[in-house]
Amino acid sequence: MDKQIILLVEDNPDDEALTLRALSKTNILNEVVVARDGVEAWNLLSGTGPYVNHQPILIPQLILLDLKLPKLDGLGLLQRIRKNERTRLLPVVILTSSNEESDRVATYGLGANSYVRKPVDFKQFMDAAVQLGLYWLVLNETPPIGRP
Amino acid sequence: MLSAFYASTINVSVHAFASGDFYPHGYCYLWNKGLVWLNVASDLLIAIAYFAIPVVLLWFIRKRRDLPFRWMFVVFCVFIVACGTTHLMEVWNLWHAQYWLAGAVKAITAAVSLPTAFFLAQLIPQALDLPSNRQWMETSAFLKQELHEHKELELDLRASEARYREVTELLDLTHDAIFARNLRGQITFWNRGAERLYGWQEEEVRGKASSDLLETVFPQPFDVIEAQFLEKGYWEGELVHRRRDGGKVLVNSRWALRTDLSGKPAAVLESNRDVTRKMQEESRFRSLLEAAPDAMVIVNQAGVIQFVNAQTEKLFGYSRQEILGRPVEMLIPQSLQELHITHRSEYLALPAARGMAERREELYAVRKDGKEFPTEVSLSPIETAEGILISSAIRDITQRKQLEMRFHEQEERFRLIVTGMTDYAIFMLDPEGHVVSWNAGAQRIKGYRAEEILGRHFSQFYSKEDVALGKPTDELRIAAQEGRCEDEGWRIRKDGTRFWANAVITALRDESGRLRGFGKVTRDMTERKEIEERLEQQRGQLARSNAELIEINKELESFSYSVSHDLRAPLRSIDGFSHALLEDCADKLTEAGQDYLNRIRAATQRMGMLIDDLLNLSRITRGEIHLEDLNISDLVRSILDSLERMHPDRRIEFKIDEGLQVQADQRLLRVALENLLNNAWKFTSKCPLARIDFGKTNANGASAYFIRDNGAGFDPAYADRLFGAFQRLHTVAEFPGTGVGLATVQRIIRRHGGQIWAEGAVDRGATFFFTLADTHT
Repeated sequence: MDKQIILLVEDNPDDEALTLRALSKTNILNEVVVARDGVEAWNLLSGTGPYVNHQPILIPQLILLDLKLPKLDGLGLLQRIRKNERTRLLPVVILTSSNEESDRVATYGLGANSYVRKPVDFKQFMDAAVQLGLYWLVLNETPPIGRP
Repeated sequence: MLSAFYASTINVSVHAFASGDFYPHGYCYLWNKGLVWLNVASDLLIAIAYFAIPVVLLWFIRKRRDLPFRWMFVVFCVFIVACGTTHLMEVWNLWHAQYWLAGAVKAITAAVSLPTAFFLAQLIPQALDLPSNRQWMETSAFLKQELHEHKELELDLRASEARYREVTELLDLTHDAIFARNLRGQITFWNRGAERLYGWQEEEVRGKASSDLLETVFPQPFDVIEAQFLEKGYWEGELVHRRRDGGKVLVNSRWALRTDLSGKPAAVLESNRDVTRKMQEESRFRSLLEAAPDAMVIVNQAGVIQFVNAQTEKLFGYSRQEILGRPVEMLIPQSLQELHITHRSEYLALPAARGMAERREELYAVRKDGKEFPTEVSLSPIETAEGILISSAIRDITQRKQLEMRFHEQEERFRLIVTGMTDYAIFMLDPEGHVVSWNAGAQRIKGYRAEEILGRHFSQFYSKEDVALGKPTDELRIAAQEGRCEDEGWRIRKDGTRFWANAVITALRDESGRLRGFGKVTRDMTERKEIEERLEQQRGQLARSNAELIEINKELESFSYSVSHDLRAPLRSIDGFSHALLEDCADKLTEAGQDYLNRIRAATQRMGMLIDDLLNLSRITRGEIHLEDLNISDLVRSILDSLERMHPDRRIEFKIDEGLQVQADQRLLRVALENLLNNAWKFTSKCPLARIDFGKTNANGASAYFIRDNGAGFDPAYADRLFGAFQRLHTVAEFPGTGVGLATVQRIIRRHGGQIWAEGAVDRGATFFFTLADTHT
């Protein structure tokens, strides 16, 4: 793995812009790939659909996943990721506005690694992004994910 | 060896008796065949006879060992044998000429015959003495006669002996002690009874004076008795005798005088009966009677009271003396006395002696004070020497009669209830299912009158389909097996209309478990059925409403769900990009512009908070409440601890009452306490020495929990606004907050069935009191 890629699955363009901005402000120099719905994300991860001939298939170091997505929503995507042999070990951090207990239960139940709530206050959001980055990309040891 | 010896013997004898020079006798006969054989035959025959005779004689004397002069016969035998032998020698010498031998034999014969003659001669005188035949016959006849007479005498003797023995045996059989004495008092006869009673054997007493032996104690002076006795010839009385072992016996003694042929007194026969036992038994019997729990009254055949016990005295109120000897009718009420007399004679007239059974009767008796009362009397006859006595055991059955009457009353009442009850059809069936009883309720419900339905089968009440299915018989069978059978179903009235019935058939059994019939209780359930149907409807409605409510709840949930997501997103954008502007275009913005952007940011953040609080509030009301036992003190402590950790720069003193237990939902209680404690924390932030207390107290007569702080407090005039949602008594600048916290707390407390209220004063702190419905007192 030469480059460390972050996959951001987010449908809201504002949120996308703000997240990218936060990440960049914190000097995290990873490449960020954005998928705007669950299906696109899955195609990217599994090398299917329009990415069927894409080489190499995307192996992100971290997946930032929003729950409310069109087509295939966050939970569905998470389920798929965890079911697939290749992708099941990928670290997934749920990044969402909801603090509903049911959401937390469901996502942890499906095997999400972490659950972070998007604060309204952007300053806070930036702090969160720094911490996320520092932890998941620097401190955390990524699981060994071989190439297909 | 033997043959050698034999041979030599022959040789010797041959030589000893060899013919030598002699001529056998046959030569004398010139061997004339006829002559020879004549001699031979004759001699042989003689020899045979001479040998045979002794044999016979010997046999004879053997048989008659009793013969006198037996020895003579033996001698004769020897003599004859010797003679016979000589004749044999004659035969022998016809051919063998052993004349020396022959001579020897003859010599032996002579030696024998001479003594024989001699002895015979000696015997003749004795033999002559023997009686002649005629004499023998006479003697024999005489003896026979004597024998005959002797035999007859013997028979007589034996007969009288037997009789004597019989009598003695009879005398010995009797229980009584019987002995005979002569006029001097000496004992001449002593039977076994006497042996048994007195302990002396017959041999020991013979000849002894009985009065000495037995140390007789007489009821009157002896000479008086004797005079009486000799005059009358008999005497009877009670005597005390001493037994051999020293014990004293009381006897009933009878004397009989025996006179000889001339009429003079000869002997006395005394017959004694041991009555000590009888007396003991009598006294025991008496004491038994005395101890009996019932009143015992014994009357004789004439109805005169012979004996009563203590219980009788108690029951009737008389003393013994007042009753004994009086007719038993004195204990019977006057009106019934004559009847009783008749009764008594009837009883006595019953099959006499044997078979007089015990009887039990109920009679009215009367006490001394005139009070009549019911009794149960059981009679039994006692046979005594003096005649038949009737023993009666009398029991006061007043109580029993009362119970019986009460029982009858109850039965009567029950019958009235059953007949009078019109709501229930209560009727009885025989074991086959025919109606045997009917009540008013049955008539009302089923429409049949009693006379129309009695005897008919109860399947009459069932629909045709049910009868075809065998329902009536099935129900009877189940009732018989299990004891009862309950059923709900359609029944047919007399007019053919149907009604919904609840029927219970109960099997009725007697004490031995035999089925006697069935009891049936039927209720017209039509009304109740209607009620039930209505209930069903309502239940259905309720279920529908419930379902609707659940639906609504679900919708609310999804609403909050989308709220939490969708409302926040735009806020983020606003805040985010405002921030971006501030950062990136700071140099292009005026101070005012920056200020505006900051305000924008503040406003959006605030909105975010409001949204969160609102969501929380709604969540509180929706969730289920799970009550459990909680230590509220620990909960308070943990919340305060985490507050301390979060704000390490603050110095707060707490006082927490320990060990307080409540029953509450843990999550909700935590939220409520967090809110209250957060408030306390917040509003004491300006206090140099902040203090927060938690505990339990008595307020308005009930126990309540409180959280007290010494912070900013509030103006009690606005106390009613405290718990309103979004109501605040301070500005955000003074203290942050949305004003939802207390509303949330109140909702939580209310959900627990409790109350919350606050006391406070400006700058002097506030105390929030709350109760929980299931506080442990």
